Amino acid sequence: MTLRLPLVAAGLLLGTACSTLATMEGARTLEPGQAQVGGGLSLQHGASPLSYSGVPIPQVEIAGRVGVAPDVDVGLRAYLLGMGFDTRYRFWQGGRWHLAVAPGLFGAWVPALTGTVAGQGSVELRTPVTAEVVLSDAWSVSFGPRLVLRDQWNSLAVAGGRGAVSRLDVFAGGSARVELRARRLVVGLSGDAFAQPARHGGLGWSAGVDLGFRSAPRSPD
Amino acid sequence: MLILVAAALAAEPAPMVGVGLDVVAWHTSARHDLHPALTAFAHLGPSTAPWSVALEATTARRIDGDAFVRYRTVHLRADALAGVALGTHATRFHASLGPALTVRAVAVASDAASTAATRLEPGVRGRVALDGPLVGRLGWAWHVGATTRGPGLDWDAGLGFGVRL
Repeated sequence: MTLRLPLVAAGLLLGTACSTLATMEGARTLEPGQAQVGGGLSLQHGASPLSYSGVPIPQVEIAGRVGVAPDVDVGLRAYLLGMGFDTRYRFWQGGRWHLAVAPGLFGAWVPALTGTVAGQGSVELRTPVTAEVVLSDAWSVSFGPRLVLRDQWNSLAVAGGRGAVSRLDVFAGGSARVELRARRLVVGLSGDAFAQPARHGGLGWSAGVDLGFRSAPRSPD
Repeated sequence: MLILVAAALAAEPAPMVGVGLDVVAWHTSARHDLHPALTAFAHLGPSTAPWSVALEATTARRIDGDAFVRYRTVHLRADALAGVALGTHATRFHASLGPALTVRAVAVASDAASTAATRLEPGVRGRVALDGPLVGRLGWAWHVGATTRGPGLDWDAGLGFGVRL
C-alpha cells in the first residue's frame, strides 16, 4: 500500500513528454509592462522516447510573458520535463497582419536514475516564425514554420569509467492556432506537425489547448 | 539590458559585417557531429529595402583518434543568400535562401600509412537571422540555418558581432 502512490507518481512522470512541441502564442506582442500568465495541456507524439510505443503522451505547461519594449516581449515556459525562455520580436505589422519571430533556448536534465545511466539532458534551440491575422476583436488565427534543434545526451557510468552519448534531434514543421480573447482572458487551440529529418523518426505532432490571463496595458503618460 | 534595448530602438537599420561563433551539426553516415565553427558574415542591401543579401564563410576543424589512428577533418563552407529583410525597428529579421559550397578535407594517419581526401560538395542553404545595433556602430547578429550536402542536411546556429556600415 505504501509503495502504490510513489509508483503511480513515477509512472505518470515517466509517461509525460521530455520536450514540448506545442504552440502557445501568436505574433502579437505584449505592450511594454504588460504581463500574461497561463498554462497549456496537450497530447503529443515524437517529443519523448515513450513515443516509440505509438501512444500519444500528455504534456502540461505553465508560461509567463512580459512586454519589455515596443514589439518585444520575453517569456518563460516550464513543462514536464524541462523549461526555457524566449524573446519574441514582431518584425512587421500591416493592417490585420502581424509577423513575429521568437528564438528561444530550452533544456532539461534528469539526474542519475539506475544502472549505467548517470544522467540525461537536452538543450533545444527553438525558432518559430509566426504570422497572425486578426479576424475580429475576439478572434485571430496564427500559423507559421517551426524549427526545433535539440541535442540530447545520456551520461553513462560503466565498469568504473564515465562517458556520454549524444544525438541531434530536429523537428521541422509548422503550426496553426486559433485564439479567442475576452477582456483579460486568452484561449488558444493549437496543432503542430513536424518531420524529424535528423534521425528519420517519423511524424511528430501536438494538439493542445492553452489558457492565459493578461494584465491591462499600461496607459500612456 | 533595457538601456541596450532602448538604444537599439532609437537606431536605424544598417548593413553589417562581422564574425561569429557557430555550432554546426555536420551530418555523417551514422549521426550528426556537433562542432564549434567560426563564421565571417556580411548582411548587405539598402537599409530601407525589404530585401537583403548575405555572404558567409564558415570553417570548422576536428581532430580525434586513439593511440593507433589520428583523424583530422576540416570543413570550409561559403554561401551567398538572398531574401526578405523586415523590421519594425533597427533590428531586422532576415529569411534567406541561396547556393552553398562546402569543401571537406579529411586526413587519416597512422604509423603504418596515411591518406587524405578532399571533396567539394555543392548544396543549397536556407537561413533565418536577426541583426541589430548594440552600441554606436557595433551590432549583433544571430542565425539558424540548414545546408544540403550530399544526401544529408547540416544544421547550424550562431551568434556574432560586427560593425554596422
